[in-house]
Amino acid sequence: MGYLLTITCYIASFSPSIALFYSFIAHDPVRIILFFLGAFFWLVSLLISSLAWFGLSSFLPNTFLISLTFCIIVQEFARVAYFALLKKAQKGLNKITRQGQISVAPGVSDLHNARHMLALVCGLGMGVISALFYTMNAFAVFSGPGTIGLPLALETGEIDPNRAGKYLPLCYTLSAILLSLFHVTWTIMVWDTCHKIDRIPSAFVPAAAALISHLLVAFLSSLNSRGFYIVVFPVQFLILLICIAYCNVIMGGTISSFINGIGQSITDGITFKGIRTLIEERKMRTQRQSVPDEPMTERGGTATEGEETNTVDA
Amino acid sequence: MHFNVAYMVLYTPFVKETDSIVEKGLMSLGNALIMLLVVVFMTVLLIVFYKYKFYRVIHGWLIVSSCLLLFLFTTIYVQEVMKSFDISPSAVLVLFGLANYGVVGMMCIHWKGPLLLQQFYLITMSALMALVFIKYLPEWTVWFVLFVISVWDLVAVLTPKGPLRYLVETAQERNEPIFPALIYSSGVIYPYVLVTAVENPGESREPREPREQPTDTEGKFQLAVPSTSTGFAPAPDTGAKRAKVKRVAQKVQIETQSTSQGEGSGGVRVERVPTRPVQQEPPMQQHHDDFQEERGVKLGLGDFIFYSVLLGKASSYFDWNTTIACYVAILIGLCFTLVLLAVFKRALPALPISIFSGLIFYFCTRWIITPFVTHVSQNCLLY
Repeated sequence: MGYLLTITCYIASFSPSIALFYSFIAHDPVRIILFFLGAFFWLVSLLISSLAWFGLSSFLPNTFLISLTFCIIVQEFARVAYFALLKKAQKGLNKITRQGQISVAPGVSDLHNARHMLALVCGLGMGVISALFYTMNAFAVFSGPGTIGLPLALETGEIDPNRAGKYLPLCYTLSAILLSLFHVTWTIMVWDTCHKIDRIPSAFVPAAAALISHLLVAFLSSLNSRGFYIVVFPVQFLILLICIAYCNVIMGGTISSFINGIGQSITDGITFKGIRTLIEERKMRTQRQSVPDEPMTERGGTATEGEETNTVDA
Repeated sequence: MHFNVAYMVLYTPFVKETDSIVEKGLMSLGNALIMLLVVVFMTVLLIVFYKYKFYRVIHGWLIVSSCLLLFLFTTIYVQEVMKSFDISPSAVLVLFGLANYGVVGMMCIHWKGPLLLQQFYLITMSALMALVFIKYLPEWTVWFVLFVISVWDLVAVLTPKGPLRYLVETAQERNEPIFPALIYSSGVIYPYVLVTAVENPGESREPREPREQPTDTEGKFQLAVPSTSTGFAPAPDTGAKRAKVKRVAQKVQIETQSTSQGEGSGGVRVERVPTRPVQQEPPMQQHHDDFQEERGVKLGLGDFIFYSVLLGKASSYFDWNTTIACYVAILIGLCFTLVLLAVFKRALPALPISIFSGLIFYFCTRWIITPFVTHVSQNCLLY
């Protein structure tokens, strides 16, 4: 049973990320590299913040909240740094991905005017690795002989390790989903600020919203240790929904279009539209590949959101 | 190729159990240096053979070592796996499976076969070799070996008289591909694209002469005869596609060499080879009928081995955070090497950046990050 539980946890935790990865990243080598670079930046930010925790805890008695806050701020700065790096590299990257007569690198889609798409890619990288860091050790222990509880490494904690009882895997799974999706939204917000701050001074709002929601989510989750799971998770998911709606607004949508989109996607989900489109795309792709002269540029998969992001670029 | 315990102990004589950190460090350093000496000796031997054109010796050497890896080590590995999962298949089934597996592997590596299959077998061989290292090297020696090998890779590729560099130069002069059992061909052309894109704004569609390379420090080296490569695209193309691609005049080729038997260090060799349109290219001697193996980024098997050693060692402490941190660090190091490749346009070692960042993240994760993360998730906090 243990292995089944672990596999189930992984599938449930990472299915949103896998869906996003498959539809927006997997077909494009440059995006895969950017995805891993996002993960690396998150790792560096975690390294810095844990170094700070290490240093602080040597002379301060209770540094936990300080270092958590510091960790969150460093993560946001990592996003800014990543944006700066991409900005510098943009020229060369645009050269690769230029839509032109020659497709030097087939399968690479245009990076120009695709800021939000890039934010999604990089944010997903950060989100996935943070979710992995959060859950992997716990999931590994779930696979043990009939273990329900916290990992071995956590058993020494002073808090009752079984406070979530049999719902602990569910808690970890939901947290992983939250983390991976939240990082996407935060990256979109922060990058929007980074992009506009030179021209519009009031553009700091998205970044501030990201920082505040990040802090809010973190401190809400501190209630978990007192057993308020049932309250905390709905609130966190509500914040996630608000963040996604806000990102939609940043990308140029409106609230009504957001609601319409949700309704549409629910309808599509019930009627298996995804599978139907996938089959059609496969057909299209094979047809396209059979014609050698046609330059391979953008593939069908990114059409929906790609268009959206391209048109609304400010 | 004699990696049973006795020989590993021969290579690493200092295995005394001790609690003193200094003593441990010194012993590990001694072991690592002995390993390094073996590697250097084997590399030099290979170079000497190559210099005096003892091709048959080298080929025999490579075939024997890959044969041993594919048959003997796979057998040992399968045996261990079967033992630990408590499965007992019949001897006939095992023999049949292993023989097929090994023979197909030998064909793909040394003769011909689909590129994907060749890549699979090369990676599998490296992983088996890495398993041997992980299993038989003493605990701390592994880290010292990784460090020392990275430094050696740096030296061997970058110094003017470095052996690995000499090997590739000679191969270029002689117009030959390096032995397919030593390098992993990816068929990916992105570094090349980066080169033209970054260095050559606006010009990228013009055919360029090799002397136009601005950052080219090794003129004579780069002006070497055209490689045996005949195109860039990863798949066999139609003429139309080639006509498009060949207008971009240059190619970065990374070739790596490692000595056989996994004792070899690896290095990435990058060369800019002036590549002409297919039609003008003089007929080259082709060891392989399909050209796929001759193009794209090439990475040494030694690199794979030591990446695998690092990752495998990192995952052997039952801390998944360390594993994933090392994985990301190695990948990013490789990406960074490719970027440097595009900037410097010359042979680069693939080990140092990846291994150093992997080592940094290994120790940091193990000692600093994991306590922090554990502390955080103890409190069920999202961060």
